[in-house]
Amino acid sequence: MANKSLPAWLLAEEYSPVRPGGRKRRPGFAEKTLRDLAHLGQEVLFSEELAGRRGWLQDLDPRCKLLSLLWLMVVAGLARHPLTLIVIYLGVILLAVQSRVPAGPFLKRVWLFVPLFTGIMVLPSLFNWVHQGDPLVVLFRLPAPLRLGPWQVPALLAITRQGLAGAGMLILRVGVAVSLGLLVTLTTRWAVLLRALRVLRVPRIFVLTLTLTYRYIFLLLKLTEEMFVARQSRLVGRMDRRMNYRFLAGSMGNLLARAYFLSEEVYQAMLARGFKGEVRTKEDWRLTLPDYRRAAGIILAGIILLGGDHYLGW
Amino acid sequence: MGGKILYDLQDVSYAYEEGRPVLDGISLTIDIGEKVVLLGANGSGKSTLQRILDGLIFPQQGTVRFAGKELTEENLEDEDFFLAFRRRVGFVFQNSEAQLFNPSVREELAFGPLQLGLSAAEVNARVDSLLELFELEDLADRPPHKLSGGERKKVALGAVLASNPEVLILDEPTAGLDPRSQRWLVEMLVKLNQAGKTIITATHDLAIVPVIADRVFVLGEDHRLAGEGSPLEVLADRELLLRVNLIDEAFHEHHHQGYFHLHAH
Repeated sequence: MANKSLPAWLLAEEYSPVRPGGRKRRPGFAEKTLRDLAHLGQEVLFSEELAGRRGWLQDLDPRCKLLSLLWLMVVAGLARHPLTLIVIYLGVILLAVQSRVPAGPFLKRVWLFVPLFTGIMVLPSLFNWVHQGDPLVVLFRLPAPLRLGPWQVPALLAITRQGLAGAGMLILRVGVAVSLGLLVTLTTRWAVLLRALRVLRVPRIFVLTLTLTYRYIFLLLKLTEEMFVARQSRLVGRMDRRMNYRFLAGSMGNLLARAYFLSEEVYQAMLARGFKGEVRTKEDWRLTLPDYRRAAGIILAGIILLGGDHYLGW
Repeated sequence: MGGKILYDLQDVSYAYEEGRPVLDGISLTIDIGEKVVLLGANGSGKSTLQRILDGLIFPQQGTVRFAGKELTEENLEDEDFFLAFRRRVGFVFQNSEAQLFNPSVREELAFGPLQLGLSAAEVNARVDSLLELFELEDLADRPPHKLSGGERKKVALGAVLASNPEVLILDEPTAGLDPRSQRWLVEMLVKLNQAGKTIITATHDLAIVPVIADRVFVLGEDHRLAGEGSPLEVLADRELLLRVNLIDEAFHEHHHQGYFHLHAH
């Protein structure tokens, strides 16, 4: 019991006065991580709120929505003319507006990342060294090809018209596809989306994995947040690099060990509550006339676009 | 008590989401060396108030002063202020699992003292004395996540005490502990308070309130301060406890030779 006496150092009442006067602390990785976690939480909350609003896509049956937007993705994949892609994209924006998805974040999420990641992939194909074509911007021109040991540098390095057009098409295509995907996830609650995937015969193991991941990721996020806040409150001195590494290593190990237990517990808790691998939601899943009309409208638009694309040729 | 004021909160409000305050216009003071309980039902804002007291979050309205200095985000960005404040105030989280991130109990206890820049010998001496005080010697090299709930709580308290803070903030410290561990913890808190530490405990466990409080602040479900007083005054105010949803009609009180408690049958 607690009848042992307190050690002398614990009785020393030497508390340093709190007063400003030091240098400004730079927020460390822990504070930045915390801020990001908080931001993520807000975004998830926002997505769920958005999916719960009334709007054109929100009111559409999730199965119809998934199928019709998937069809538009296929159309975007098959389209050979940039105009087709631009028209599809305008349609996507119209759908977003009709579904009350705020334009700013919607555009930003797509166009901030797609050009960056797809751009890196297609960058080499811009140049005539990789992809022959008509030079558009000449970067340098040597009087003759340069020989460097076993390598030969061609005389001309230029960005080609064909390369640029190909890269532009790819970026546009990816942008349209990502926007469509984003539109589905923003206007459908997760549980409903997962159930829709099952109805569309996506194998149970994929959906089950997604279901568990979703349940579990928030628990893990909460755990991480608590750990970082606790560390923050226990910073009583300057942490050197070594201590930071130790914290990171320790917390990773700790998280892994607990994630292992947690995953089992989450699954068992789901089993205990009668989960048999099928996602069920309380929504009424009857198709109504407006559902058919809306889905048919989107699918028809896709067919017309594909026809037009074929007619326009390339 | 009635000593020098340590914490001074004026009209503090906080909301995680706009329009849904978790704390609404809280004003209170806590003296040096006092033991205080924040009493309230689940979701009344106790934990948020404690996070504000620990300078982890900052109120959107109102002011919080610690030892005469205002606790603001800006002040805590100052390195001297930050370190002095963190040294003086220790927080024992409700979920001790999250608080413990070191690979062994020994390292967990050494985490604070090492940052204080103590010599290796001093750190070891501190850790050893804590292991002895908390009867954790046999567990010194075990990873904290493999311990039982009671043992983990001990380690969490020890880890915070290791840097000898002046104030201890505890969030639901007895939640989930068996009666023996509960008693151990409560006795330890009383002892620490007698040694001069200020103890601020958030709880809805009415049974421990008379032991660990000189003064009780009651938070209502409307996130405002619903009452304050000595433990006897607050626990005798059945109407107040009913109003803030801490007890229901089935609760009744017992008096045994001046000792008083409430419970349900």
